Amino acid sequence: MTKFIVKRVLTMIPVLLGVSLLVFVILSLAPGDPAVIIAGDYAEESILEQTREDLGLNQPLLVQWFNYVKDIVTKGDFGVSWRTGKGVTAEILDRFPTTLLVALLGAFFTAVLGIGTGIISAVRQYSIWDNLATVIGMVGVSMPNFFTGLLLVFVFAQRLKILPASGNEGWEYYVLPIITIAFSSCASQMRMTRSSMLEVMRQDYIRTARAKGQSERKVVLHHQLKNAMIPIITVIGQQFGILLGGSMIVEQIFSLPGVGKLMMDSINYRDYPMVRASLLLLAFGFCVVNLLVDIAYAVVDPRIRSQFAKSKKKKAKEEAA
Amino acid sequence: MEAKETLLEINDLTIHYCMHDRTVRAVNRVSLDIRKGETLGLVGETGAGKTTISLGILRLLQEPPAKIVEGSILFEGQDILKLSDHELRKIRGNKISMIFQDPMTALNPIDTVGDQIMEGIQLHEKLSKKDAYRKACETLEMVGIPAERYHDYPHQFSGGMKQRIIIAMALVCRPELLLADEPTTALDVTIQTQVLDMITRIREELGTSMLLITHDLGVIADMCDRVAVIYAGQIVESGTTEQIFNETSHPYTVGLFGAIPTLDMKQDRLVPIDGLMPDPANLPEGCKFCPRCKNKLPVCETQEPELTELGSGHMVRCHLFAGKEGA
Repeated sequence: MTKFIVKRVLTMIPVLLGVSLLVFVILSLAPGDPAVIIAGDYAEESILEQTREDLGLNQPLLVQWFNYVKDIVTKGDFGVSWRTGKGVTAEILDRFPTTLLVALLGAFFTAVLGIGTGIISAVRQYSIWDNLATVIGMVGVSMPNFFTGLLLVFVFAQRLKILPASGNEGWEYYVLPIITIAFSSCASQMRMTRSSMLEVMRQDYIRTARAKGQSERKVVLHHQLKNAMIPIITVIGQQFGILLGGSMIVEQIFSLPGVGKLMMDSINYRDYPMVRASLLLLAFGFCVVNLLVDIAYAVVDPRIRSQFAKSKKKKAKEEAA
Repeated sequence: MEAKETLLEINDLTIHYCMHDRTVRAVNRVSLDIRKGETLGLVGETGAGKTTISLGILRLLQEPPAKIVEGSILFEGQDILKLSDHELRKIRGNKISMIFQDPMTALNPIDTVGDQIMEGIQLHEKLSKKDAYRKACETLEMVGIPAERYHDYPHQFSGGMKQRIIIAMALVCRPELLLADEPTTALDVTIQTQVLDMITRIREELGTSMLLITHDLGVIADMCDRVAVIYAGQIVESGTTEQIFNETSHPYTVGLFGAIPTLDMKQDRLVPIDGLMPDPANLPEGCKFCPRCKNKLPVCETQEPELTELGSGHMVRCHLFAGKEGA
């Protein structure tokens, strides 16, 4: 197992290198000249040229990329923000806890509500509850985040005045953003749980459990849910990964100072070092979540666990030979 | 033959599968009884309703679409069809347990086999965890699997071993009645004999009665005291194993015997029964076997035959034997 994890961590390196190169290429293709934004619209050409020279924009793209990676590897330096002139790392680390909190809480409520309603829908298939959950789920999926967010702000902040609309001064500022996130991502969690549970429900071993005299509750929660867990974990992982990069729209609407909002602002300002670093963080977050998901698979399913053990044995044999 | 106490008595059991557009009449007024310590064989082709009957006995049918239309299933005097869920759970796995057809899918893939055996013990017996564990290990040993493998998962076992584990699961609470639904169909022939021998040995030790469902007449000859032949959801012939094998009467049963190879005679070809079983959603009006029968009479097409008793306990549902009672 340890070997597997180490191997997976090592494969992250080429992935992150690839991502950073891709980001470099895309940003260089983006319209707008950073030099103009930094020096101002009416700056003279010589000043613009000087700015470009300072930023290293005149060098070939691959050289720029190589220097960037070299700085990260040798000095742990992700560059300096073109907007503030401060180190990018400090700024992102300053913002990251907010994003992490929103991601954790968002994923938690999504999982609890989505799996809960999914189980009810599957067990009471075609009942009023199943239909109700399906309809609400459809609405949740179809409504864009910004609309849900604005609607919530209108109702709870504007009309009822019980929750703040934006800012970051206490727990109550997180309520509406998390509802917004959970509302939209719950639905896919619910549908996945439902279909996965229904698939397992028809399996022979569920009948075996009933034939033993097991109670319906235990049949559903132990035999059925545990076997339905793999696709459910996959969806939790995906959603958590997305949230970890900072839900740009939600952070923007509620003015939460997270990485997502930082990224948006940096893109608008053509603050490339900041964009690159936050995208790398996003990619890194995804890699970590994927690894966690794979480990969770092994915890849940002994068949996957034994595959890890097998590859270990195979290696041991190869080494012996 | 000494008259033993009746353990399970099925009367006029009728089970339909109700779909949107049609009703599949899977089991039609089946009556059976199993006496204490006895093995009753239920033979028939695929789709004849054998599995539906056995699942019906434990009320494990998915309802809907399945629907038990009428009949009663008396077990130790009480009607299983009228029990509450709670009372039913006390019987399932404890007094009546079941061995399923396909050992590959009948075990939960993510629990250790030992835990799956122990689950039944903990449900029905008030034993401490330690004692339950010990009993689960003993049961594993009983079916010939070393107790060290308690913590292994189903995917680490072969098909034959999985079926042994399922048998251990079924027998762990020493049930009165064992429903064995084609216990060896999914296994290869050498393993089949081993598993059947083991079932017989343990059953004799524990004094368990058994309903053995199969389409293999050889298995019936080896293991059963009495036999019921089922066709299109109806019992067409029943009696002791000797009666069925030596005084084969119903044309369908005769056909079944004609379709098995024998070692004593040189046979170039086997004689199959022509045609297919009727669609259970659209059963013929008269005798269900009539369209495939070689000896049919005009009456067969219009009137459904009743069961006729030929010898002591030898029942046949066929117009050819009507009026020949007790011959």
